Amino acid sequence: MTEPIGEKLLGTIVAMTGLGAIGAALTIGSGMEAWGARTFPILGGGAMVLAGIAVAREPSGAARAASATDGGLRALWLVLLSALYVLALGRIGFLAATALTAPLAFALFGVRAPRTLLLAAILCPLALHLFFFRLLGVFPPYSAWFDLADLLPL
Amino acid sequence: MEIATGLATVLTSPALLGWIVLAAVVGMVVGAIPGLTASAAIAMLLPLTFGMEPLAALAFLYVIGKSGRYGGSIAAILFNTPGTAASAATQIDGYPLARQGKAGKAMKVATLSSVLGDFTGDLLLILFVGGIAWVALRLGPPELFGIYLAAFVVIGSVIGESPARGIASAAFGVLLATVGFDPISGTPRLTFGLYELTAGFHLVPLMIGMFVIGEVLTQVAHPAPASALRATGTDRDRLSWTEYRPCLPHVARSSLIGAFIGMLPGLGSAIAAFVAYGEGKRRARNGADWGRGALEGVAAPEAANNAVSGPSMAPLLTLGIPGSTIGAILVGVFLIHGIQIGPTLFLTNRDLVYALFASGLVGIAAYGLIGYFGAASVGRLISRLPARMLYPVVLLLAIGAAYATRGNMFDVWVALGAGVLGYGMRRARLNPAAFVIAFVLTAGAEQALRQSLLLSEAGWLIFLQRPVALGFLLLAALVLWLRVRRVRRARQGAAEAAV
Repeated sequence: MTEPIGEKLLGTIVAMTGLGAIGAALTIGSGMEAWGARTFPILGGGAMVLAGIAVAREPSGAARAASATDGGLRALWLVLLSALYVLALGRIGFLAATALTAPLAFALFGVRAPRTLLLAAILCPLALHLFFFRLLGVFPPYSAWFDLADLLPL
Repeated sequence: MEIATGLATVLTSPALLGWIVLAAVVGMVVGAIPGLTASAAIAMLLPLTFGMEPLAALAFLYVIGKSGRYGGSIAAILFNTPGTAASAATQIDGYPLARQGKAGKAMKVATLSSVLGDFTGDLLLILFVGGIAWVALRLGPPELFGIYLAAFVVIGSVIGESPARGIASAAFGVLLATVGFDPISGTPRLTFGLYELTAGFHLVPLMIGMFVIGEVLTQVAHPAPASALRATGTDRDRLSWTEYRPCLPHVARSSLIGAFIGMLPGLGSAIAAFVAYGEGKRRARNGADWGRGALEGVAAPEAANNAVSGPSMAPLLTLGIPGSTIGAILVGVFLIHGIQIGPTLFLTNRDLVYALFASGLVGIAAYGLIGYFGAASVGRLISRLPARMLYPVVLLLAIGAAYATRGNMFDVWVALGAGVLGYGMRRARLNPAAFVIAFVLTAGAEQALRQSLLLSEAGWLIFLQRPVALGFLLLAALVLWLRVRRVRRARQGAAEAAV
């Protein structure tokens, strides 16, 4: 995620994914038809194998892609934060999980002012809760441990 | 005439008019924010439309797409950063005009040209879509599969950097679309024993991940420089008829170019804008001024990129083939509201289709009026909106929207995974748009192929026995060959220039 992917590596990944898909598709029963349910997965996998070989044969474009190690790391941190947020939604509920995640997400984008981070921790969960669960009427995610929404008059 | 009935439906419904005006504003603002696209806004706002009437939902998202294409010109002119890829050609003359203190004039030219181009595209759509649907109704499964295969190849080979990368992206979309129960035999496919995968991947969280979360990850990795977000012009300069009159021939030509390119799946607004700009410059009397701040250089690409909008709906509505990411998302909206797209749509929901076209016309008028008098204010608003505050909120909204799609956490994980995939695809110079369009096309293509094989006694040879199907297969091969040849020549030219 931190360095640009070279043509040979990318082509190999694409072709191997295609081969894996063909292998998995061959385990699908064909039923009454000659090819049946496996037809499209095999065609898709085959197209990936051919496209992967073609990508691997492309001239190297590594020089064109700028190195972005720091940027890639920030993206990685944001993915991890998002994954933890999704896990937290099912444990501590939408309000608490969003209140914890919002300031961290703001910080990853370079916001450092404590007042702004505090405001993000309060306003983001409130605004999103009112939008999704009051305005749109979506049923909030079930939280296993506790949910602030049970305690607050929202 | 059906369109008159459609207009009456729209104009007599205050709620629908309200949604259309709101969509015009939302699209313009989102399109003007560098990095955020109309596709991202539509994907994120999709859950908002679940409780709406089908016409209101479709009109709201359709007009966001139209207005978003126009909104990109605001950022191109004011900030020298195209809000959308389609407005990159507008930047060539728009920003020099802003540096000359004529930003307001340039934005008015962009607004008028966008409106004229969009109206032309929509009128052509309204005039000819019924005929296309009539033809489409007479096509059998082999012909439809020929068209689908041509669409896969054209989209895969034309969108993006190289045919190999485009086809790899599209093939991956095909693979993911086949996950879950086979729609014909009910056999589970590529589920690896996971219960959650038996229903397959839902389109909406996939879109939210690809276009919204993927974009947020790109922005955190490569933030837009703050200096790029500074307005450079004033909004005081007026546009006179004498100044705009030389633009009209360019607007007329570019609108036709845009409308033609719009009908072809996968080409899209950006290509239309650059083709129109190149053709306009070649024919212009003041060609030497283009690139230094010619008003005609703003008019031509803006008319073309907005003229794409209407005709791009023709293959979507008549054949179920989306030619763009916005079209792919609209497929999801139709399906969510239980409406089957394709040729039968004109038999089962004719009133809805023409009311949607009428909503498009009203939407054009709405963004035209708002843009003509308010584009400068939108520009000032955007220039004060710090990206570091905007994108974290967009991320949280996207995760919430993915959950709201069906109220289950699996969709949130799908959106997150699609976001990482979308970011990785951008880094690897693969194409998320080709991926998503192929994902949407797969169900129809598979049904057409399997029906063809079941009906045929000649097996796969049926596609060679039916002239229309064979014609589309040859078209696909021709497009692929031409594109490969062009890319090879461009690489050879670049290699020779480097030596």
